[in-house]
Amino acid sequence: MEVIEQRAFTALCRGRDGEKVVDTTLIGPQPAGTWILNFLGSAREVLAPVEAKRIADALALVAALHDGRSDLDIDAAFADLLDPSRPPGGFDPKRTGG
Amino acid sequence: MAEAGVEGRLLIDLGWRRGRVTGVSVHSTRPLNMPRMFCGKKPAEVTVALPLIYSVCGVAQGCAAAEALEQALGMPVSPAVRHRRRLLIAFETLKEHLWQIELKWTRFLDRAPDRRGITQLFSLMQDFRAAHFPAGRLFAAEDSNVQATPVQFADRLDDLERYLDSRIFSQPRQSWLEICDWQSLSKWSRRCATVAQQMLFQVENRGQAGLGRTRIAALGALDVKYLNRRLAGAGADRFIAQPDWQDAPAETSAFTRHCDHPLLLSLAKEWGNGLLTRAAARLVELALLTDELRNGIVDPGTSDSLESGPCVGPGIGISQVEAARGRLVHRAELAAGRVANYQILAPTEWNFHPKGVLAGSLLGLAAGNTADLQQRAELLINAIDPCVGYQLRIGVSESNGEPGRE
Repeated sequence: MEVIEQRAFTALCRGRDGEKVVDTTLIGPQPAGTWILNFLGSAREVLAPVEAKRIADALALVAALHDGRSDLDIDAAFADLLDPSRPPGGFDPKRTGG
Repeated sequence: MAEAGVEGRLLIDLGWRRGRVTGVSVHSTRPLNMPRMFCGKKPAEVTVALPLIYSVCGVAQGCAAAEALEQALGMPVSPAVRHRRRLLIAFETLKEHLWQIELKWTRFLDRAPDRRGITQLFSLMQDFRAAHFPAGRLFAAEDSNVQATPVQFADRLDDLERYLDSRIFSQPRQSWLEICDWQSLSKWSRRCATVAQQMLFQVENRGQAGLGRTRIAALGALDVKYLNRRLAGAGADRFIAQPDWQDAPAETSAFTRHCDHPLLLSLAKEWGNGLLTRAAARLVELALLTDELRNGIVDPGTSDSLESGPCVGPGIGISQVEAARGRLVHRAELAAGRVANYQILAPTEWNFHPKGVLAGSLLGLAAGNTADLQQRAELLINAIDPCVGYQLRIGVSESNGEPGRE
C-alpha cells in the first residue's frame, strides 16, 4: 500500500482494495508516497516502489483469477509479471485475451 | 479481526453458554487452489511469481518452491545452497517471532513496542540475501557465486544478539537456554525487566498459563511417498483444506518443533500446550535460531558437491520447509518442462482445521462475560498465529452448544 498521510502511530494508505488506516509502529513514521507491506492492519516492511508494484500486480492477477475471469489472458498477464524490462504497476486485470 | 482480501480469512464462531464455550466452528475462505495458476508455466517463472503472492512468508515459500521444482527437474543442488536457504528461513522466522512479541505482546501488556531489533534483523537479512543470492532468486538454476565474508555478518549478528539479550532475555541467551523447568522460568519472569518476562509473568499471574490446553498430536515426520499419495489422490483438495495425519488433525508450530526441549517438556507437564507453554516455545525458538544463525554464518562448513533431493517419481517434486508458523509442503508435477500441477499445504490448514488445535483450545474455554471471552480467544488465536486475518464471532445461547452469531 502507498502512504497517503502519516499520523501519530498510523498512516492512511491506499491499496488495491481502497484506503485503509495501517499501524506503522514497527516501521516508524513514513513520508507520503512510501510503499509498505501491510499484513493484517500493520505495516511489516518498507518496500521499494518496484517491488511494491510487482507484488500489487501479482495480487491483482490472483484476484482476477479468483473472480473467475474466464476472458483473462493469463499467459500474457503472467508474462508481464515476470518481464524485468516491463515497468511494474502496469498489470491491467481488465485486459482480455484474444 | 480483519477484512477479507483475495487471501481469504478464517471465520471463527464460538457458541457460549453459561460462562463456557460449548461449540466452535472454524471455517476458512482461503483460496487453496490458487497455485493452479502456475499450470503451464516454466519452473523458473513459478519461483519468481510465488514469493510475490505470498509476500509475508515469501522466503519460506520461495525456498519450498525452489526445492520442489529442483526435485521435479531432477536437478542436483549443493548442500551449501540448501544451507544458505535454511539460514534465510531462520532469519524470516526470527523476524516473525520478534514481530509477534513487539506487536502482540506489547499490546497485551499496554507497552510501547521497540522497532530497533526488527529493523536490525531486517537489514541484516536483506544484506545476507543479497550477498548469498546475488541474482535475487532462490532457485538453484539462477544461483551464482557467493560473495559474502563471514566476518561481515558476524559483527552485525553480535549487535543483534546483544539487543535480543537485553530486550527479550534479560541475560545472555546461552544462560537463558539453561532454564529447564517451569519454576525456574517463573522465577525468571517475575523479574519483569523485559517485555518477554512481563508477558510470561502476566499470563501466569492472571491464571492463564494453561489457557487453551488441549490434547492433539504434534505433526511427526511426513514421508514424501505418503505425501505424494495424499496429494496425488482423488481426495487431494480435501487433504489440502483439512489435512490429517494418522487419521486425526495434528499441530505444527514452534511448540511442536521444540516440544522435546527440557523447558517445554516441564511446562507441558504442568500446563499442557496452554498459553504459557506456547509463549515459552516462541522464546526457545528465538534463542535457538539466533544460535543457528551464528553458527551457520560464521562457520558454514557445508560442501559444494551436488546432491539430489528425494525422488518420488519422474517429474514430481515434494519439499517440506519449517516456516515460522509450522511445516510448509509444496508439491510440483512437471510435464514437458512445464508445471502440470502445483499444490501447497500450509501450516494454517493444520492448526486451524475445524477439529484442530485452535478448535480444541477454544472448546470449553471459560469466561465471565463476552468481552473476557473475546480477549481470551484472541490471545489463543494470536498464539497459534494464522497466516491470514480472522473474524471472531460469539453467539450467546441458552438452548444448545451450537455456535451462533452475535
